[in-house]
Amino acid sequence: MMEKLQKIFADRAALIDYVRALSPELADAPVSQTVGGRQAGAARLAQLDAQSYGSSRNYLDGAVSYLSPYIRHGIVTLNETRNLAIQQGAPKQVEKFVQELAWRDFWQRIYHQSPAKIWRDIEPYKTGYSADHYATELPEDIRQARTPSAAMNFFIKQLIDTGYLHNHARMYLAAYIVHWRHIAWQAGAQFFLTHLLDGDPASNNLSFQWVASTFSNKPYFFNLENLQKFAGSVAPCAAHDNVDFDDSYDALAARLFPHSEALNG
Amino acid sequence: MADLIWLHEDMLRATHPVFAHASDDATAIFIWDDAYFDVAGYSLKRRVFLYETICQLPVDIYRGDMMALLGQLAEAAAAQKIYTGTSPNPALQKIMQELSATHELTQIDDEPFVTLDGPADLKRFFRYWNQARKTAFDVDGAN
Repeated sequence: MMEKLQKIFADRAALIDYVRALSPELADAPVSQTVGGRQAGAARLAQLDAQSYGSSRNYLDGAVSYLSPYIRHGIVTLNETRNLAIQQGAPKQVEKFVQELAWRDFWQRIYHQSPAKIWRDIEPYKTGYSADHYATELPEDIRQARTPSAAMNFFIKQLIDTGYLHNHARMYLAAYIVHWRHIAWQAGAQFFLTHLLDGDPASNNLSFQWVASTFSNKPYFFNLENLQKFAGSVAPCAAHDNVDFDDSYDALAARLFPHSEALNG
Repeated sequence: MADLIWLHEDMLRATHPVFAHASDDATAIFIWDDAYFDVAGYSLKRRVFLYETICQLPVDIYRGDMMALLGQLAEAAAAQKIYTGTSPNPALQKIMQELSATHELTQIDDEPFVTLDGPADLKRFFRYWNQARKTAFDVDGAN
């Protein structure tokens, strides 16, 4: 007997209860306020401001589209999103936004071409460490948002509670996991995939590899000044709560990558 | 005999081209496979987002093993042709490959973002962008 599942619910709470019952081992876990479905995706699309995105996208309170969960599952397409964006300004004015859509297309093409590459280092680390230096398990303090950094804890909580992180916050947290904590990018990537509503093996893992330097020419890292500039209006970025990042780029490079001549030139 | 449309998690919209390829009386299904979600490590919030999305689609939702149920549902509908969307996901590709051994399976691409005039250069993003930008600002990604 095939089990056909219910599709009509009195309200969102009833639907959530139903999915909790389908996954009893996850029943205590949080649910995002981000609503699924084409209707919600179309509403997001209607709010798109492709020009403002270009100037404010790096700030955590910038004009980002929040379309990624819908694009991830084909609910909204890259094509229709671009078609709308190019109505909002000349190519130069909407270039950054269209380029961001192209990143998604780029990652998907790599995934189609080589599905097995997604979990492997595409190139060696360029950090002065070999791959076997990095731990394969994500530590409990990261899973539970109890790291020494208040900003990282804020991002981890947001990831777990909402299923969303701004792209810049993803880069900060990924860099923290790989370069400050010496955890293999795969462990961080799986953690993100579990929680991100837009979690996609290609975009997520290849971005992690870009941060780690296994799919880029050098590792991505940041300092407190950068964190405060772009995340300060949203996350707790006081120096005394984020001491690991409070230094110049040269000093951080010397501390994080002591064996790399290229990064300590 | 009606066709069977199998929607998977990479193609969750009613305007996906797969609907135009299958016959008008095709039966559309989504299979809620707990084991598939467990292997992918999906949290509850991801499952709720997906379920909420699927409920808005013209599909019946069945719970169980994807491969086993696809065979049973194709048989129940007396469907000779199964239509689905292409996916880079190795788990879905494996199911499609196995299904092709016993059924006529057609994989349909989603609408493209850009049109390239040669093989994609995927070594670094900006190499790819230099190819993609030629049509990235055109409607439907086509000159």
